[in-house]
Amino acid sequence: MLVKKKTKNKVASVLVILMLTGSLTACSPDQNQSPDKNQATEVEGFVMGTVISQKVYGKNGQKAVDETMARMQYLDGLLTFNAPEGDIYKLNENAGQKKVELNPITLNIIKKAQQVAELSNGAFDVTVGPLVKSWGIGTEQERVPAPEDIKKLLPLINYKDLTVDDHSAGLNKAGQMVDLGGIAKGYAGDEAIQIYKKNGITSGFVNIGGNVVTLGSKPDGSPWTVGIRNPRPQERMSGQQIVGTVTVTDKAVVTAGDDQRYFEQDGKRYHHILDPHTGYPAQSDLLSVTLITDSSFDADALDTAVFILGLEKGKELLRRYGGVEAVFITTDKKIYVTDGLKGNFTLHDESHEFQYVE
Amino acid sequence: MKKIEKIIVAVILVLSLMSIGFTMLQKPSHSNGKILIKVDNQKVKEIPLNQSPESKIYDFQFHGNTGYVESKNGQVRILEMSKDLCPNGICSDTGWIDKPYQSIVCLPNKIIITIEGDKDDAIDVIP
Repeated sequence: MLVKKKTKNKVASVLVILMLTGSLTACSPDQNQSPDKNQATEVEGFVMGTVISQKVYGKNGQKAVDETMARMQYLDGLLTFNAPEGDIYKLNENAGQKKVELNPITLNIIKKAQQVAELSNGAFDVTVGPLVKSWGIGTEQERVPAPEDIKKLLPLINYKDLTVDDHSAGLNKAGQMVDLGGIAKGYAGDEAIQIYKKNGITSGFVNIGGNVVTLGSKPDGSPWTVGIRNPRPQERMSGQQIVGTVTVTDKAVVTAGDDQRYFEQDGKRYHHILDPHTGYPAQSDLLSVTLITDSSFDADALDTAVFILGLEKGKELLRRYGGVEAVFITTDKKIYVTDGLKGNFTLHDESHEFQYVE
Repeated sequence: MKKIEKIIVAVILVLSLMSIGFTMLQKPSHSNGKILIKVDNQKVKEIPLNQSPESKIYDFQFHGNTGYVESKNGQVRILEMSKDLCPNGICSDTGWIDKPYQSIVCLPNKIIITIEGDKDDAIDVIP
C-alpha cells in the first residue's frame, strides 16, 4: 500500500520528519510536564542516629518533608533508649518493677517485634538492649566486652520476659532493656509515606538509614531504580558501590548488613547486628539481606532476623511470613534472589567479585 | 524519488539530526556537576566538581571548625579530620564519590557531602 501511493507518501514522510524534528526539540525532559507536578523537593537530615533523605514531587513538597522531619524527631524522642522523656527509657527504668503505660505507637511496635521474635525463634529480639549497650557499636565507647560480661548479660536477653497489652508493657527482670533500633526506622518509614499522601504527594521516596520506602512511581511513570549495596567495597565504604539494582513502585526496600556499622579490633570485624543467643555479632552465611515488601515496618523487623538466621533458615522464615521478596548476598560472594524477583534484579557489579546465582 | 525531493529529505534529515545533537549537548552531564556541602542540613558551600587530574583542595566551615574536601577527575572526598573532631573517621574512610546517588556522611559533625549533576542517573536511591 505504501509503495503504490508514491507522491502522497513522499509528502507524508517529509511531514513525519518535520513533526519528529519539532517534537524532538520540544521534548527536552523538563519542559513537557506541568511545573507543579514535576517539581522535586530534596532534603537530607539527621535523625534516629542516622541520615534521612527525602525526595518528593509536587507543590506541597516542602510542607510534606518538613512535617515528616518533625514527626521523625518526635518518634526519635519516644523510641530511642537514651531519650529520658521517652517511652523506652520509661520501660527500661521500670524493668523488674512494674508495667508502664505507653503510647499506642510504642505498643504497636513492641507487638510487631514480639510477633517476629516468635516467628524467628528469638533471632530477632528487642530485649537485646543490655548487649547493645555493652558493645556500644557506633558510639565512642565501642569495644569488645569481656567474655564473662557477655555470659552475665545473656540470661537478661529473652523476649518472653517482655509482656505487652493494649495499654502498657513491662520487663520481668531488673536490668533488662528494650532497644527498638532494629525496627523503629522501619516504622518511621511507613509514617513518612502517610504524611506524603496526606499532603497530596503521589511520587517520592524516603530513606532512613537503609530503610527506603517509595511512593508511587517516578513522575514520568517509570519505576524507581533501587541500588543493592556492595557489602565489601574496595575502600572501607567507598561511596556506596552497588552490586545490582531492582525496580519498584510503592514498595519498601530495606537492607541489613554487617557493613553499615562496625569497628575492627585485631583484624576482626565487629558489626552492630548482635545475635541474642550468643551475645556476639551475628555470624551467619550472609553479608547482607535486602527485603522488598509493602511495609518497611515489616521489612525492618524481618531483615534483622533473616540476617541472623542465614540464607536457608532466613528464606524459610520469609516463606512463612509471606509477601516478601529478598536479595541475599552470602559470605562466599554469591547473590541469590527469591522467585518473585527473578527477572527484576539486574546484576551491576562494579567490583566484578560477586556471582549472581539465577 | 525526484532529485529535488531527495535533497529536501536530506536537508531535513541533517537539520533534525543537528537538533537532536543540540538538545543532547544542552543536557547537563557530570562535567558540570557541583559538590554540595551541608552542615546541620544547611548548605554551607557549593563548589564545581573538578574534572582535571590535578587535585584541588577546598575548605568549608562547620560549628566553628574548618574541614577540607579534595576534588579531581570528577570525584570528591573529605580529608581526614583530627580525632577529637571525628573519632572514627568513617567519613574520610568513605573515599571518593562521583555519582549523585552517593554521599559522604559525617554523623558526629552532621556533615553531608553530595554531588549534584545529571539527575537522570540510572539509580534513584540505595537503602
